[in-house]
Amino acid sequence: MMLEIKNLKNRIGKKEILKGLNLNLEKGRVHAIMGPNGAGKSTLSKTIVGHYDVKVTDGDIIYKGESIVNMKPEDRALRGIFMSFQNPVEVPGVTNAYFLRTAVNAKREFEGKEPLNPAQFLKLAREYAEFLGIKPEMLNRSLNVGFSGGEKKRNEILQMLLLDPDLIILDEIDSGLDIDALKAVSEGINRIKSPDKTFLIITHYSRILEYVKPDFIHVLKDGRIVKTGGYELVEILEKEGYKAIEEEI
Amino acid sequence: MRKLSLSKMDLDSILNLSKKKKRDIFKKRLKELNLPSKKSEHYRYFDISHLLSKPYSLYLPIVKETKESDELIIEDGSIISLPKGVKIDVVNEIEIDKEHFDQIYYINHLLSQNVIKLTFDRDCELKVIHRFSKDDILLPYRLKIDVTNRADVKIYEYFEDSVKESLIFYGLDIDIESGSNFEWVRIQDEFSKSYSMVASHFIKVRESSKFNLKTFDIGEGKICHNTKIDLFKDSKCNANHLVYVDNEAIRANNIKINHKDRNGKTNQNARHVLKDRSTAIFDALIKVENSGAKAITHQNNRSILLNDKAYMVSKPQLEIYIDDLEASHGSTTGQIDKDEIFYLRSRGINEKEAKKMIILGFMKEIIEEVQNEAIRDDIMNRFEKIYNRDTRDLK
Ligand SMILES: Nc1ncnc2c1ncn2[C@@H]1O[C@H](COP(=O)(O)OP(=O)(O)O)[C@@H](O)[C@H]1O
Ligand SMILES: [Mg+2]
Repeated sequence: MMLEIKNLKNRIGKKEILKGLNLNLEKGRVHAIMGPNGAGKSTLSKTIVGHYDVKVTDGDIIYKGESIVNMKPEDRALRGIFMSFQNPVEVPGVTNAYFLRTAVNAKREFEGKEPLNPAQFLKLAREYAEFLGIKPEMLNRSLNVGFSGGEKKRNEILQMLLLDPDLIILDEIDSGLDIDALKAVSEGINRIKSPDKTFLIITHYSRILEYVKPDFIHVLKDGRIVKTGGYELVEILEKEGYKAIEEEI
Repeated sequence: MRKLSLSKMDLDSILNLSKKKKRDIFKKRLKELNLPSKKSEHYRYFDISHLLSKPYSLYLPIVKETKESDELIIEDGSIISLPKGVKIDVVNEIEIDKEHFDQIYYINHLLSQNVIKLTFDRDCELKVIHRFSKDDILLPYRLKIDVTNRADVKIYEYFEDSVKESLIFYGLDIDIESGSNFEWVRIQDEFSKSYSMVASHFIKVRESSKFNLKTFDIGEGKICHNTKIDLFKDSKCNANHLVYVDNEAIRANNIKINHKDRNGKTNQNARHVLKDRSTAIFDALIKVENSGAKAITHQNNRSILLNDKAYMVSKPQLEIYIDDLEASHGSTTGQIDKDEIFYLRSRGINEKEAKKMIILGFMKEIIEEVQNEAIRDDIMNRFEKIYNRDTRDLK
C-alpha cells in the first residue's frame, strides 16, 4: 500500500471538514476523487502534504508504512509526496529555474545523490519543458509571476516530472485548461506512470479521466468517502449527479 | 578642540559658526523651518534631538594633497585620491536651494566652508568612496555635482568604515543640465550602532534630462537622508530604494519630488525588510504643482517585517494641484507570505531556505535595476551577507 488514511478527522479554523475519512491508495494505481464543491477534496490533499491551515484531530495517515501526520511538509516532499496546487502562488524575484534546481537538489541530497550543476539541470529542465509545451524562457522568469492559468498548471507538471515523486496528488489540475494544455498535462502524467507510483486525481470533470484512465473512483461527500468503484461510476455521476450516490447510502 | 552640541544653541550662535558672508537666506529659512527637532514631520520618528544634544568636536575638512586612483576617495570630508580626468574644484560659495524642507540642509551648508565640486561634461562611470576615521566629531561636508553637455553619468557611492559617536552631515547638490542623464547609486552598509549621519540632498532635473536614484541601505546605524528633487519640463525621475535593516538600526528616507513644469515623469519604488528592533522610515511625497500638467507619477512601497518588534513607518503621498495627470500610489506592510513559504516547502525546500529565497527574491527585483553587472553582483552579495548574519547575540 502506498497510502493508508484511517478515520481521519480534521478542521480548518473551527470548522470540521473531514469527518472520519478512510481511504487506501494502492501502489501503481490511479485513483480519482470526485465530489461536489466544498466536500473537502482540497482539504484532503492539503492534509496529506501538511498544509498549515489544517489541524488533524483524529486518525492517521500512513505513507509507505510510516505515519506522516506530524511530519514537516518538506520532509514529506523529500520522501516522495507531491501535490499540484489548485492555485499555484507567484513568488517574485525567484526564478523558475533556480527554484526548480533547488528543489531537485534538495531531493537528490536527501537520497544521497550528487547535486546537479546548473548546466546539467538546465538540460533536463529544457527537455521536460519542451515535452510539456513550455517555452524555454519561462524557466528564466520569476516563479509563476504573470503565468497564465494554463502555464501555471503546466509548470506544476514540470515540477512533478523533475522531482519524480512516488505519490502524486493532482488537485483540479484540469480546471480552466484548454484542450491543448489538457493534452500536455495528461501526457506529462502518462509519461511517469509506473508500477511504483500512485496517482490521486481530484477533479470535477470526467474530461481528464478520459486521458488518464483511473483504476478506482472514490466519491467524497461531506467529509467522508461515500462510495468507491470503477470507471463506470464516472458515467453514473455524469448522468445523475451526486444526488444519486447519496440515495444509495 | 571646542565641543559643541547644536541642540543647546540658538539660531544666531549657529549662524555665527559660519564664516560665510551672505547668511540672509540661511537665517530666513532656519527661522521659517525652526531648528531641527521632533516637531518637523521628517524628524518625527528619527531622534534628531538626541543626536544634536551630544557634544561633538567640530571637525572641518581641509584641502589635502591627492593621489591618483581608480575611484574617487573622500576621507573625513577631504579628497585624498581621484582618477585621472575627473574635474574637481573646491569652492566656497555655491548656489543653494531656497525651498529645501530640511533645516540641516542649511546648517550643513553654513558649516561647510569648502564644497567639493565635480563637473561632468562627458559620459562617465565613477565610484565614490567615503571613509571616516575619527570618533566623537561633528563632520560637515558636501559635494556639488554638475552634469553638463548632454553627458550620461553614473556614480556609485559607497560608505566605508565605522566610527563611534560621530555625527556626519553630508549631502549632494546636483544640477543636471538639459538633455543630460545622471544616475546616482548609493550603497550604504553600516554596522556600528553609534554611527550617525544626516544627509540632505537637492537635485535639479532640468528640461528633458533624466535622473535615476537607486539607494541601498543595509545594516545598522542612525542614518537619515533628506532628498528634494525638482523636475522641470519633459524630465524624468526613477527612484528605487531598497532597505534591509536589523538590530537597532534607524534608517530614514525622506524624499520630496516636485513636478514644477509640464510632462514630468516619476516612478518611485521602495522595498523594506526589517529585522529585530530596527526602524525604517519611508516618507515620500510627490507633489504636482499647478504648472505640472500631464505629469505621470507612480509610487509604491512594500515592506516585510521579519520580527514583531521591528517598526516600519511608510508614508507614500501624492499631493496634486491639477486634474490633467496620471497617478498611482500604494503601500503594503506585512510578514513573509505564508503561502509562498508553504509552496517552496511542499517541494522539499526547508523552511529556512524557503524564507531566504523569498526575501532575497523580493530584494532582487530592486537590485536588478542596477545595470552595471559588477556593482549589481556586489550589491546582491551585501544583501545576502546581511540576511545571513545572526543578530541574536548583538546588543
Ligand atoms: N482556509 C479556509 N478557511 C475556512 N474554511 C475553509 C478553508 N479552506 C476550506 N474551507 C472550507 O472547507 C470546506 C471544504 O473545502 P475544500 O476542501 O476546498 O472543498 P473542495 O475542494 O471539495 O471543493 C468548505 O466548506 C470550505 O469553505
Ligand atoms: Mg478544491
